[in-house]
Amino acid sequence: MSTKGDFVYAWASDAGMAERGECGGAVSSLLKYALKSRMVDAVLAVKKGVDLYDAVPTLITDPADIDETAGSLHCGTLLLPKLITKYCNGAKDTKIAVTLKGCDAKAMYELAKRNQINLDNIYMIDLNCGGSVSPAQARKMIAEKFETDPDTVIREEIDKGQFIILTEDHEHKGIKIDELEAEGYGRRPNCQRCKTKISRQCDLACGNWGVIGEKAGKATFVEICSMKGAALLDAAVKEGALDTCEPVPQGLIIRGKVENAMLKLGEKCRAEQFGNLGDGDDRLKYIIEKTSRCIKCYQCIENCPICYCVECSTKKPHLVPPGEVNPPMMFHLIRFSHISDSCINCGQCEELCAMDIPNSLFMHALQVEMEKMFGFVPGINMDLPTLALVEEPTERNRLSDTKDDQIFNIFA
Amino acid sequence: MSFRYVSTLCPFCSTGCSFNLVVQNGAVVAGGPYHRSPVNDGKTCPKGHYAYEMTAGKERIFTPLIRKNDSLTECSWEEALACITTKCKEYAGTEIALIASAHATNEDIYSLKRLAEILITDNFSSPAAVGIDASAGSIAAIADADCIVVIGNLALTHPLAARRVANAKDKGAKVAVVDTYLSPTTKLASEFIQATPGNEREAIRKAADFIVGENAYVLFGISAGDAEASIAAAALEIAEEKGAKFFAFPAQSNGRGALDIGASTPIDAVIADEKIKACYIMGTEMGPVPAEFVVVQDAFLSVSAQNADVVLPAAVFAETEGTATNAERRVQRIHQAQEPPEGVKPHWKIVVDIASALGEPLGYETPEDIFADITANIKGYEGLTYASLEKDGHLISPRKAAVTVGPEPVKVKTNKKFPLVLSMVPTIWHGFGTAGTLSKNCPTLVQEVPDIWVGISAEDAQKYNVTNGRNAVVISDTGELTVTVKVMDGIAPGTTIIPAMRMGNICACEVTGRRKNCAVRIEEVD
Ligand SMILES: Cc1cc2nc3c(=O)[nH]c(=O)nc-3n(C[C@H](O)[C@H](O)[C@H](O)COP(=O)(O)OP(=O)(O)OC[C@H]3O[C@@H](n4cnc5c(N)ncnc54)[C@H](O)[C@@H]3O)c2cc1C
Ligand code: SF4
Ligand code: SF4
Ligand code: SF4
Ligand code: SF4
Repeated sequence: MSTKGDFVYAWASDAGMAERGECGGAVSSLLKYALKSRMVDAVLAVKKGVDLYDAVPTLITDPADIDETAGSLHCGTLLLPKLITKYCNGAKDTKIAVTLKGCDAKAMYELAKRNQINLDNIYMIDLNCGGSVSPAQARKMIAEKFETDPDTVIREEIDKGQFIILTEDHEHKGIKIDELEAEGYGRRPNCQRCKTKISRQCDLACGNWGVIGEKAGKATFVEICSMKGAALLDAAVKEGALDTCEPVPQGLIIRGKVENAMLKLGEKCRAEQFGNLGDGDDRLKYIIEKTSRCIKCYQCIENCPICYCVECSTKKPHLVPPGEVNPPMMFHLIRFSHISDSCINCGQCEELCAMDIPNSLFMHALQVEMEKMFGFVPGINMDLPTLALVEEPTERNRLSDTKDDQIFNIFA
Repeated sequence: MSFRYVSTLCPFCSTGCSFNLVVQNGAVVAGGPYHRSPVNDGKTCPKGHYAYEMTAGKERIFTPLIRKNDSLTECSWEEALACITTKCKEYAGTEIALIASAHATNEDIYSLKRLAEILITDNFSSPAAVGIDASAGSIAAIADADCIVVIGNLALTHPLAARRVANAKDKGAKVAVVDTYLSPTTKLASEFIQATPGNEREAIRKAADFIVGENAYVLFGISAGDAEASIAAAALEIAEEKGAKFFAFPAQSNGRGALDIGASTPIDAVIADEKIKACYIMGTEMGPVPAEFVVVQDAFLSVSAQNADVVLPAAVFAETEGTATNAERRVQRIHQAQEPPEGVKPHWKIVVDIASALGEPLGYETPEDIFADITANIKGYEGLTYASLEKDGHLISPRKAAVTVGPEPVKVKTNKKFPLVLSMVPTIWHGFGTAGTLSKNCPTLVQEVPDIWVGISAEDAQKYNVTNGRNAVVISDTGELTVTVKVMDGIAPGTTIIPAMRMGNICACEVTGRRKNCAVRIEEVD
């Protein structure tokens, strides 16, 4: 019997699945088992579309269909949780197992506390995440930096600080991530700032960090993060879907070191990116200048996991006059004031921005400041966000003590 | 509980963005980003975002209609087809015109071309046939330009192409914009050159001085000027002079495809041709058409349809398989996300049925059959298959720009009675011109701009006694229209702007007639 806090190496018992999977197919086997055993009604995962740069979200009810979702798509920059809210009735009446990158995991919690998702009905399978690359960016990078036709690449991954590609002719090429990112290629800017590498708020956290020895590349390191996760894993092992063994002790140490190194890197990238925004008035001016190109496509709102209002304030005529393009700054101020406390830095608002406005950078920078002020960390648990706490006596005291009239003095 | 993503093409402008349609229980319920899209990297403008709403558009038609006792009444497909075939035989080929929507698929347009052949007429046109055809490689490559001259309001007409101008600007490119007012496009520029009706060519010439660098572009959006082709010719001239790449963006999503296929008889000539007695319109708003016998096949009850003799219900983009060719001449797939409602057929299928009823079957069972014919007959499409287009489509290499020089632009003559120049400008919410029928059926787009307005400078507002937000009537020598007044920065005194939108009978054309510019006066009403 396993329990919360346990670590195992895991891999698919089925040889075909072990082959199809990214690192031994443990995750796919767990998903298939959950579906077969009717622990869940459906699985939400991604499958390869036109090529390996194309991650298509897929809701699966037939266990056989799990096979086509095996493998990691590092250009799968999409956000799955909002699809559960929008198209699966927030899992209010169905049980769903879902694969989640760190940002997805955080989005699950933020949606749950806003009553958009029922976490009781969800099995959350974390994929440890070193970062993802936008499809167009990846293709451009492979063409320009790797001098390789992106259509000939059959595999790509990030390993040991390198972005590595494997071509049809079995040629490996790797370039240091640092080097790529210094030149504007590589992971999405929000991924560079990300400090959610192993999301322990999920039921099971799965990745290849720390898998060494004979199982290297053939198993996934699973950290059991909840009793629900333990029950799923045990049942899957018992029914023969999955094999496990104790992790190599040195692997555990390495995993910890890699995670730490990634967190440090995230911190460094934050310092750099936030630094470029300037401070105070300069920062505000920069934000006003950049957002002034907005064409009001509403994609930043539609795809943000924190936005859930049916009647969005940005569509209220007394706040933002309808039809005006470019919209006034108020349009963006509404987003800043409604979201910044809870922004989970998923990057959707930037990746999908029609005018390439670094929305996520702005929002994340505000969130980090808010976190310093109020201590609220979004996405890690069911704690209510700062906005829900502004009535708190401490906040009242601060306002009275400092004679500050700004509830969110985020530009100070 | 189930859902499926189906990637498809935006039906509005010629940028050629793709996005996903979300399908639940066989019906389109929403749009979603398609991160892997080759042109737009998953991004869209508001029109692309809300295009899915037109599947449930309130003006959709579900049964054929036929004019009886001067009013349109529902009828069967058999009755409608029988009426069309009988009537077609009464006219000589030269008396018949066929007009294809440039928002329809290549397959739809090609089938209509075949029908034109059966009816033995050369009067085969589309609203894209304005005498301008110029693509210059990929839109994405504009981001690497070092100097760009934009003519027109690209940020509102082709927003995701304008994004590339913004990208280039961020990387240090020089950008100049020639436009009628200080529009959102001018925000992307370091240099703004104002064009007023009649002086567009001079304004463009001024921009020539600005072009330097190795990798310069001249981008021609939709012109607010009337003599569009000769304005484009001026733009092409400066591009050629300075060795810049020249791009002209058709208004319509498949404008390029319509021209490639041959719906290229100048549209103005077809409209003006008094010999034409019968007119067949595929999915495009032409207003009331004066011909003796008019057939309209459309998804929506357009003004043309309301005035037609026979109306045939057609599918919307989400209900059809096919291809379209965008401004950069990339042929891309349109995937069907839902079945057309009962009684509704895709455009190509309607044409196939008419050809069969005329006793001249085309032998097309599927759109793919038509595409095979396209690849066999249309230059640039050789060897393409649906399978080969699945990923990234196919970018046909650039050709020499073709601009047919038309009449010179003329200055709008103002006088005491009509002291202000009025110019039609694009809005991002409503498709330009014929695409108004599409946007009008997307409630979110309509909600943003539910009424027509006129933009005026603060100076003129005071001079002519009109107030921001209040109603006023705009009067020209051809007609008048009640509009909301918008006092705007960046409009030159003496000039006013009105959005090119058509909401049923509310249309800027009420004032401008068939022109894009005219002289007006403006009076406040209660
Ligand atoms: C973008 C990304 C980055 C990653 N980075 C790291 C890393 O730096 N270090 C590390 O240790 N592990 C990382 N992983 C996890 C690792 O690649 C494996 O997914 C994990 O070890 C499980 O392997 P497996 O063979 O058991 O999974 P499989 O059996 O192959 O199953 C993988 C599951 O993940 C789903 N999936 C694939 N791509 C995505 C996506 N983009 N978003 C959501 N779900 C997806 C699939 O649909 C499938 O269900 C990353 C995964 C992804 C998707
Ligand atoms: S934001 Fe973080 S968790 Fe999300 S994809 Fe990027 S690195 Fe992974
Ligand atoms: S504001 Fe942007 S980065 Fe933050 S949660 Fe919303 S979409 Fe994600
Ligand atoms: S995604 Fe960008 S362009 Fe679209 S509304 Fe948001 S900020 Fe504006
Ligand atoms: S830019 Fe054009 S093609 Fe792209 S989403 Fe907007 S209207 Fe559609």
